[in-house]
Amino acid sequence: MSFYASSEGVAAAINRHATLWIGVLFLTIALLPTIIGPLFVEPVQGEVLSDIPNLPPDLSHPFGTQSEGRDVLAVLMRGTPATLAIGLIGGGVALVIGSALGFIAGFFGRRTDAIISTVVDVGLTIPPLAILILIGASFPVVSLLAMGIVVATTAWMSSARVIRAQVLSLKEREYVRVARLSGAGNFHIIFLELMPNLIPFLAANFVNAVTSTILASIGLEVLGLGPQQSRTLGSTIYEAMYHTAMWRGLWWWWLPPIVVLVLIFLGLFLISIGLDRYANPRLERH
Amino acid sequence: MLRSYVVKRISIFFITVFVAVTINFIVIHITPQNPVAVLMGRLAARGAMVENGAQLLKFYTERFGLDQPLYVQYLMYLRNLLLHGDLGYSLAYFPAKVSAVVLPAIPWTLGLLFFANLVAAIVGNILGALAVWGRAPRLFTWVTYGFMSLAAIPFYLLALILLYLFAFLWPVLPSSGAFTPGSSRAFDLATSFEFIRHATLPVLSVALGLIGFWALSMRGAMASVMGEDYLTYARVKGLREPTIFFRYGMRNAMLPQVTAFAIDLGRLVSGQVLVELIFSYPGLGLVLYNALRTGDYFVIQGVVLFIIISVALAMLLLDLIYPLLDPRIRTASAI
Amino acid sequence: MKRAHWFSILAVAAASVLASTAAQTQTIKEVPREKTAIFENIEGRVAIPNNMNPYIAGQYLDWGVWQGVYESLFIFNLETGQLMPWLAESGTYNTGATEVTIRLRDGVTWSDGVPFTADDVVFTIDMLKKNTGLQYAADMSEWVDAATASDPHTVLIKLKKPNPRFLLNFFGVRIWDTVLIAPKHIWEKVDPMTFTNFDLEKGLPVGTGPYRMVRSSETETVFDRRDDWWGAKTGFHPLPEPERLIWIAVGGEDIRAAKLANNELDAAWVLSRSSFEVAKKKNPKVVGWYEELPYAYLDPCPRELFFNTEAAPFSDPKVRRAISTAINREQIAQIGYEGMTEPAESMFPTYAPLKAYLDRNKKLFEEFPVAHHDLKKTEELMTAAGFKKDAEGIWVGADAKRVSLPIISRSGETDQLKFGPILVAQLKKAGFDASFKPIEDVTYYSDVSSGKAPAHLGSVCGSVQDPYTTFSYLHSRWYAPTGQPVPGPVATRFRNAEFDALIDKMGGLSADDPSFNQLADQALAIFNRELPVVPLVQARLLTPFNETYWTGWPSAKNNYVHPGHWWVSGNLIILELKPAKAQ
Repeated sequence: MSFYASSEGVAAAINRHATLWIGVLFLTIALLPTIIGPLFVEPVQGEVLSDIPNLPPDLSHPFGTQSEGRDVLAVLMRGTPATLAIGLIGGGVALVIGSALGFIAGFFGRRTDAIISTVVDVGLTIPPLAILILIGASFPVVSLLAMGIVVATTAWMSSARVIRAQVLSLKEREYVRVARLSGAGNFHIIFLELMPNLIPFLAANFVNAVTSTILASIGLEVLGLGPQQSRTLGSTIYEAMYHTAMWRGLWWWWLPPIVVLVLIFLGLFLISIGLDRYANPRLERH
Repeated sequence: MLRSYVVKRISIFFITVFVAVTINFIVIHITPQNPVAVLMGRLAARGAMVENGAQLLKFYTERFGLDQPLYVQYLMYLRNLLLHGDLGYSLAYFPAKVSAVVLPAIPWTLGLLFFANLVAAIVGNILGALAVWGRAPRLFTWVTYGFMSLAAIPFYLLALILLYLFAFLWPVLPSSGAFTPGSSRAFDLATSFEFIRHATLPVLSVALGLIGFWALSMRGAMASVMGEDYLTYARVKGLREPTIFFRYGMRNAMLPQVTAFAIDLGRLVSGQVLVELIFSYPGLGLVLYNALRTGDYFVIQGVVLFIIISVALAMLLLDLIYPLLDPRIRTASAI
Repeated sequence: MKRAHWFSILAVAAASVLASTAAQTQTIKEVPREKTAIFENIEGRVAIPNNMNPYIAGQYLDWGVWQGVYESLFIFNLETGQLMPWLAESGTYNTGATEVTIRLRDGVTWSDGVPFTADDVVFTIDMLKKNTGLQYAADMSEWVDAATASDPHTVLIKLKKPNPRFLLNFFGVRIWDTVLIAPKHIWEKVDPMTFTNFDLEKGLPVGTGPYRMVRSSETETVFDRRDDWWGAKTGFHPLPEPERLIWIAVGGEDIRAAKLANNELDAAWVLSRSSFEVAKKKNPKVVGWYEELPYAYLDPCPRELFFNTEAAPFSDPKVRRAISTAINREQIAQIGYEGMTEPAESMFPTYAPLKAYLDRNKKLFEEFPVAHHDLKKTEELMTAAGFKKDAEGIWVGADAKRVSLPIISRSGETDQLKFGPILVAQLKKAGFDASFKPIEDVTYYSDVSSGKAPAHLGSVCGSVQDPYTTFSYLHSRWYAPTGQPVPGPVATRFRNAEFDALIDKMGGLSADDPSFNQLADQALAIFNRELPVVPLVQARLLTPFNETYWTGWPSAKNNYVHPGHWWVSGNLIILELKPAKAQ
């Protein structure tokens, strides 16, 4: 499955991956405030009382200030990477656990599969927010790492399911049969035959896991159960809400984090579709 | 074959419920907290006189069985649940029972879920199918893309944007609640109209996000149906295009969607809970949130349990109905 | 699935949803908006709409049951500083305050027509004494030796120990709630712990107030006026004007502001300054207590920073005082409250008699500048206590450990959420390793009560007239070793024998007693020196009213009563309302 294996030509190939690149573009735009921001403000301006509260946007504060006196651009500069970090940590943990278990279930089958599949099916039934609320209310979650791990507990199951299905289908492919017949051991089959073909799926899966974990973390944060003090995008929105920023017309406070989040979700979504297409070119026909 | 499938699905249901009950119990009790202290603290915080608190503390601790070791409490909980269907007493609203707190909220959450999905399914399926149908205008494809983008956004964010646009900026729709205060609530047109007005924003927040999902899966399913022989046959027979579209195209494409929907149910309910919160819609979301805030352990347990059981039940039902709908699937036990 | 199938499923679902919702809410008659007064349920929601038992611990029926259905024996009016007799005609103490005689008003009847008599009062007190789990049960057991009815209108209460504040604290709506009298003819037949007191057909809940409950749901409680109210019949007070009262649930501050602006609310819960100003701009009929800043009324529960005085280093009064002078209360008031409140230098709300008390002791505040922002003083005190600043300017003790100051607050208190980060920034500047964490009720009350949290934000609702009540919460009887929950509302674990002795003496004296002031002053001296609690700011609660449909709301200009429409005393406000549009 090489990048340009299709006979349709380079233009079509780029078009095929257009979705992917547009997704990356959206993510880049979402990160713009973080990248360009330091030209305008210092990170320390994201602290409380760094200037007069509730100032509308102007040259010295491109996104104005919020009610605690923090510069909103500085808050975005800190919050966007934080939210993405939670997503990456959570997504990574979910992917590792999920694909390991999914792989084991798919490859070894029978009993192991039955046990793991049952656990996954049961887990998928449980609405993530329910468990997260239980955890979040009992153990106040403060650090980004802790948050990432907490949300990963509900995100690994769909990874497991997908990887398992993929392994099941790959297992019956010709080249695996051939390898087995020629006496290759499990180890060889796993790492030299199956894994390379799984990589596109793992990639797509990772992106989905990142999306799920960011989604879950936002769910917790807007209930006030996540890291506080404007450290993530979700908690910024939560604070804007209980300071009634919407009603008071402080649009520069609540709108930018929402826009950044929307861009992140759209970007991840498009990347996921793009990777899906790459992993499964049959979808291309339509 | 069919029997083993059914047995398997049913046993998964019961395992799910049992696991859910246990996890529920464990997570809540694992932290060394004293809910009676919560009661006392809240009393005091409001200025009420609490001169001999020690007595009250002792009384309620015994009443709720909080001084028993953990496993005894667990067994008591299980026994009450399974034998009497009793979820215990609400801590915050004693002597009310948890079921009294949770049950009235259920129709509202279910109603919202149902109507949002109905709207989304209808609009989404039609859009998705039209996007693929060669003879429909290209516009539908773009509209579908638009909705797919909305699908990527969490319901909560959509709800916030809708709230701002339609309740603050142009206050045309009510910002909260399910009825206008003081309404007669009789079974008449006026009440129904209000009911719909109040339900519009919550339903929209969820539906807008779901349309994309339905459209996308319909598109995929429809695409694979497109080349089927029976469609060509229908055309040759001279059936009108819309007839072919609805009766042969869409109907058959909808089956895989039902499963995909079932899988996503858990996530859907999670998202909806936050929407209910924003609009103060009197469903489980609000009950859960208040229970969280007031430290009402037993209500939290009750709501989470209910959500898990109903989602598991729904999935079970869907899993059982599916082979009835499509005979080809009856033997499938792999995926 | 066939189309017919879909439609029938649809129809069944819709019908069941409508049916179930209609089933739990009763159909009531139509009353025009201009004859209805709509209040906000400050609890957010009624969790149990079919339980109106006011004696269950934790039942705050402040969404109309307290205000419309029940009435109190006495009502303390924060504005006049007087304990107004209401259902009672008078209340007198004997010398030494060991006996109280309550004379009831003539002509008071319950909503079912049965006369309200001294037997009801005696019954209520006995019922509370007998049933330990009820609210105020412990208090009645502690104070009341015996209650007797010497005639249908006279109640004689013998106290176990002198208490000149007995009526104020328990039957006078000192702050927010009080002991409500139960109708004996109904409650003697039931178990008060499990009685729901709710049956609309039978007229339950039965009270003496001018309103009767007609609908109860989680989000809405409706009361209709009953024209056979005793007050109108005996000429005591004309019938209230609103024919219907409704309490509704409101989601959050922004929705509250929107509803006020849209005239969907006549009396609301708390708004921040700018939310109020935006609402007022959209709807000039939205009013506060004052017409200009600070708009808001002075609530009796000032905001404070509490310590577990058993936990080092906060066991050292010098450290506590150092922290106090490190705080810039003006900044907290300006930024956290948008300028709508003022710094507090004591635990007392500055009502006239309490303000006089504080003014009288100016010298004590000069000697111990509690609320004075002075970083040099902080340095002085910390150094004297044996601390040094490390390379980064953080205080470290003799054991080279940093002075860590983790402050928690209850996440439901939005005003504390708003100023918490500011407080922490100030403390950090002064060299304390401070942090702020708002947490959920469960963990908050647990950690505070057990002493696990060394510092927390909160408030004490105590004194309204004289310093005794608030100070009594610092008595060592509320002490419990760290790790065990404290038996009361305040978890400072403060133990000072001198202070205890003063409080004990003050408890038996009324504020007019000549020796009272001296004791109070001495207590203040000890408090300022030890500072177990660091006062922060006064609590100004802006609970706006809407004059579009109703006028007569209490305000600074028309201060016939304080504006707590969620207190049992809210009935006084309802009785004053007049329709805004001439009929």
